[in-house]
Amino acid sequence: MKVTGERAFQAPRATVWEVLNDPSRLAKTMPGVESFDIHDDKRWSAHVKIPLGLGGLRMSIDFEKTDEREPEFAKLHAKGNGVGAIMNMDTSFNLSEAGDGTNMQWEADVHILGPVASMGQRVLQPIVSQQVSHVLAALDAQVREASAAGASSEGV
Amino acid sequence: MDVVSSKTITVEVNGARYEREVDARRLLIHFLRDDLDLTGSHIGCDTGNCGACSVLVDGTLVKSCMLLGIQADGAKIETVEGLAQDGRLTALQQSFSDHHALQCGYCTPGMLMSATALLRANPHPSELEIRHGIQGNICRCTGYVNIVEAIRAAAE
Amino acid sequence: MTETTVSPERPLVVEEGEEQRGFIGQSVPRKEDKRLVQGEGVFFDDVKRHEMGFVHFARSPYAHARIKSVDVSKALELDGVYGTLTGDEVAILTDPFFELSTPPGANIKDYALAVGKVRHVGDPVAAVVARTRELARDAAELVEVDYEPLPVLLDGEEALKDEVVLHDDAASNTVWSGIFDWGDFDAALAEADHVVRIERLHFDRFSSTPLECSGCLVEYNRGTGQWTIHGTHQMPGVGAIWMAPALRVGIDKLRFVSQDIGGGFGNKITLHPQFTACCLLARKLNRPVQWTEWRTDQHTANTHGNERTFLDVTVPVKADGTMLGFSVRAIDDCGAFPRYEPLGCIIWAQVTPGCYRWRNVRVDFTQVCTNKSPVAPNRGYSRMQHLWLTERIVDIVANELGLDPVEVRKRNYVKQDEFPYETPNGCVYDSGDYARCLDIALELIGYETIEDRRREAESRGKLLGIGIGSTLDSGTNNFGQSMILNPELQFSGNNEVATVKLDIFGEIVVTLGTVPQGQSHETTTAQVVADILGCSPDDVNVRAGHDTYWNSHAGFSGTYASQFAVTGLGAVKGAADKLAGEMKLLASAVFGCSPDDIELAEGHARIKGNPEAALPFMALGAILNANNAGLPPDLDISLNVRYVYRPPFEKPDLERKFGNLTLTYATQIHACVVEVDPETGVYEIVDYAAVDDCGKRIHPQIVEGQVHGATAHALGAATHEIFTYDEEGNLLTPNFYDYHVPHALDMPPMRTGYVESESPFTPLGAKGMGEGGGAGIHAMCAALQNALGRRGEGPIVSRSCNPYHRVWELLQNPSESRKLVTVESR
Repeated sequence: MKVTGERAFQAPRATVWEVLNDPSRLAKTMPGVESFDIHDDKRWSAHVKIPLGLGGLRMSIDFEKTDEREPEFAKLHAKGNGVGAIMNMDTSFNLSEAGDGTNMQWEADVHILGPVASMGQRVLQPIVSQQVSHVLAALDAQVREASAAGASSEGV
Repeated sequence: MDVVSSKTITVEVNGARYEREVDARRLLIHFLRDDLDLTGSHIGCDTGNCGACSVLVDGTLVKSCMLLGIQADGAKIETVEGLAQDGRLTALQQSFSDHHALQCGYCTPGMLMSATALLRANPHPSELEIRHGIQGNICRCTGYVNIVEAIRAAAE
Repeated sequence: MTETTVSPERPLVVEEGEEQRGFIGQSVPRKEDKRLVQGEGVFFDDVKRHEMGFVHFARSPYAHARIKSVDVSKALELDGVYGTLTGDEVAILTDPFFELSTPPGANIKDYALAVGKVRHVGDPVAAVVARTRELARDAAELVEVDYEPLPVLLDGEEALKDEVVLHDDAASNTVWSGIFDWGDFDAALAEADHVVRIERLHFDRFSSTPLECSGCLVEYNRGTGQWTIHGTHQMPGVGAIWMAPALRVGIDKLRFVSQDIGGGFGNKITLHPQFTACCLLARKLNRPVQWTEWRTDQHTANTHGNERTFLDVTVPVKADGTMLGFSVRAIDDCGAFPRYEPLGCIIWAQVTPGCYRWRNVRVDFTQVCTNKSPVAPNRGYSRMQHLWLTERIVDIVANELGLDPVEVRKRNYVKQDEFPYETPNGCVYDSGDYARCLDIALELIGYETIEDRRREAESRGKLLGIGIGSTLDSGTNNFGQSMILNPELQFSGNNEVATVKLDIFGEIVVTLGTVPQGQSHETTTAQVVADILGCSPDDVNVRAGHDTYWNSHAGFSGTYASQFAVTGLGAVKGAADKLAGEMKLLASAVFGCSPDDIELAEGHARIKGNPEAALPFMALGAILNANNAGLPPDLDISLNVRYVYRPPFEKPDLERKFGNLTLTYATQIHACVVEVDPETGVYEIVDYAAVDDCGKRIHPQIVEGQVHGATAHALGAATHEIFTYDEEGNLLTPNFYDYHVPHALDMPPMRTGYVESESPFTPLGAKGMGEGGGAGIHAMCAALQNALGRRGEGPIVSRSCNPYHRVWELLQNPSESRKLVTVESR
């Protein structure tokens, strides 16, 4: 299923770019992240618990940045494995300056496989949408935090 | 992988007492079939929809695939094996045969337990009440026509 | 759901023939019941072996992907795991299963586990065996498979383009294709007063989903190399033909045993891949292994009924409503692996013109693979899809030309005095009276008051519709039809076996070659034997189930294709007749008279006209088996007879695709009344009638039970049972939670009637019946069409499955489906 959206941030584009490309920051945006590992500047993994089913669905997700044009475009591929579920996702971000702030346009192509997938789009779409809104809210918080520390940052 | 915990339980099935150690995750239907060798109750699905595993637990009609074995600790269970006495069929069982209410016989134990529960609660059900009473039991052979007829005849 | 279920008190029929004594024709008590109502049946999962291991398959979550690696090491580390099997091993230890088709289909490589690629969600990739069922499942989840996803193919028409190809060895998705052309369709077109064209009809994917899932318990005897398989295979003769060469062993090394099977409906015929995997595991691990399929596995990975698209249907019609034939382009979607296919590409030809006297038929038939579950000969196999086409044709033509659907059927039906009737492709419809069956169905449904009921429903805001579904249940295949598809195949004719013996204590023991899954073979067999040997069915001990070691089976043995009453009982009759002859011979030797003076009655062999001179069966058995000194040396009898019934068939003419493809044709004609709520599309079946004609009914109650069951399957398929996929190839109805089969409250009030038009071709005048031909589907589609709008207006029902939302869509946008039909009037 495809999900797209737009978000405006009250922060310069460089700051938003920085947050998006910082795995440790990005990990904090994801809901239910229990732990994460950074392999190199393009690859990292997270262990998450998604609110699905009894006790949540645990997944380990491998992320890889497959393309980028700093500071305006990045593309990520994510592959997740869990009990009864496999997730493949390609997501891309487009950042453009909007006055003092930044406009982010993003889109994701999410594929869900395994027994969970048989529940169909009508069940999974709301969950995906919910996860997406959590990510965006947390991203907002991360960006604000980075912005506040921005003046004194040394290009983290 | 974690060690699966287990528990010793005591159940009475068809008047006989059993004490067994059972894995915590083992379903009641598997406990009956595999641990106690009571293979009369059957499994037809994995989502609790077909009713082939229907038994009576403390007088209540239950799908035994929807219960863990350990949840039946201390219970009085009735299965199809307990209906006939010394090879003498109950009126219900005889009626099933007389009315050709079974073809392959796979749904029959569950049907009989549902019908038994129904007739105990409602000795003279209408046709609609009979159909409600076996609504949780799937049969793919008979189209239910003769099953309803058999239960109606047994109720008279 | 209305309250009344009516079976006529005095059944509406029929041939009042001569007074018949004997057990054939009576509804005797069923032998199978005593054990089954007490839960004492033995289904394969009831069988246990000491220290057996439980199998769980690791299955593909992808509809189409390359397998880059399979790692079972973590699974093997788990305590309690006995071992594993992967595709690599299978590719080394076995040869691919025999394919029935010509190239390119012939080049498909089908193994017990996925090798190199997975081709549908649920395709088994590895197998794990462990001490308990739960551990096996845990361990299967630890199998790590690295997949490289490939584009997914989920549409039959798309498959024809061969852009996404499933089987690299075949380099094409086409399993088989061919053109059938009988009569002179072009002349018929020229002669027509109207030409009705239907752009597209689609028969949806569903299955009869037997309640018992598939499975087996396999033991391997190292000393003899013998496998014993307790399993649900309903056609083990053919199963062995697939498995033995793959395992590189002789056929006798595979012993199939079953006692009770919980329904099959054709879905337990192509189990050879899973059974082969279990055989390999039993041998590798040197312990018995047991596999029980999950419901979700059955729906995703084993098996569906054929899905068929009919394009460019063209029907020439005369002014008086006589149809001259039809032409069509058919695309059959057989899922990821053909297996029993492409037989479905010819089997429909058993009923080429349906119930009708159409002489000019042209069919362009192609079968393709897609990334869906493989298909199997589901109840009604291939004829059902084709008969649905013929019924839609009649219904739509009647609708468009303003013809009465009853009159138009009677005008076009094969007439009662035309039997035996040879169809355009050489099949012989043995007997029947379609018009009469239709009349009975209409009477049962209260047809005379239909218009009043329609008005009454309208006053309540409901749309009432009535529909008719006529089908033929063709039974007893001539397997020579497979040669029409592939001349290299060496299959023709048919057979079935039975043994009947008289034991030392006078007990009559019968073994069958068939594999019943509820069709009451023990009971009907006993009736036939009892009538021949002059005893009671209670005296006849029919061994329950099937066992290769009984040696009472042949190449085509099994229970399928509506043939038991002909082949199975034909074998039983042959064996019992021969045994009766031997018993009379023995008695005559003992009495010193002629065998013609002996009759068998009341459990004795006695001299006619002198009932005092009687030998009980026990005496006969004892004399020959234990006390035979002094018998004439030329008395060549054994009282242990094995008989092979062979129906009379010729090899078909491969050039013209012409020949008799089935021995018998049972009729089922159904009528259905529905009420539709035009606001929501929700409908209710308010009246239903089913009339069957299967020739001599051996056991009326059993025949009726089969009619009820076939109707329930058809109504499920017509209303809510459908296998649909999302764009990834995930099945959205993978278990009973989502795939809604009829429950007790879903069944309409059903009235039944029957006619007995005996078959001139069979040993007992009986015809096989049981599959039913899907009459309920045809009747439902017609009833919905009738309810939603008539006479050139209103929507066209062009799909076989019409759940409420589809009816609603038709109501919302009738012009959409209207575009599918054009009428050219000259």
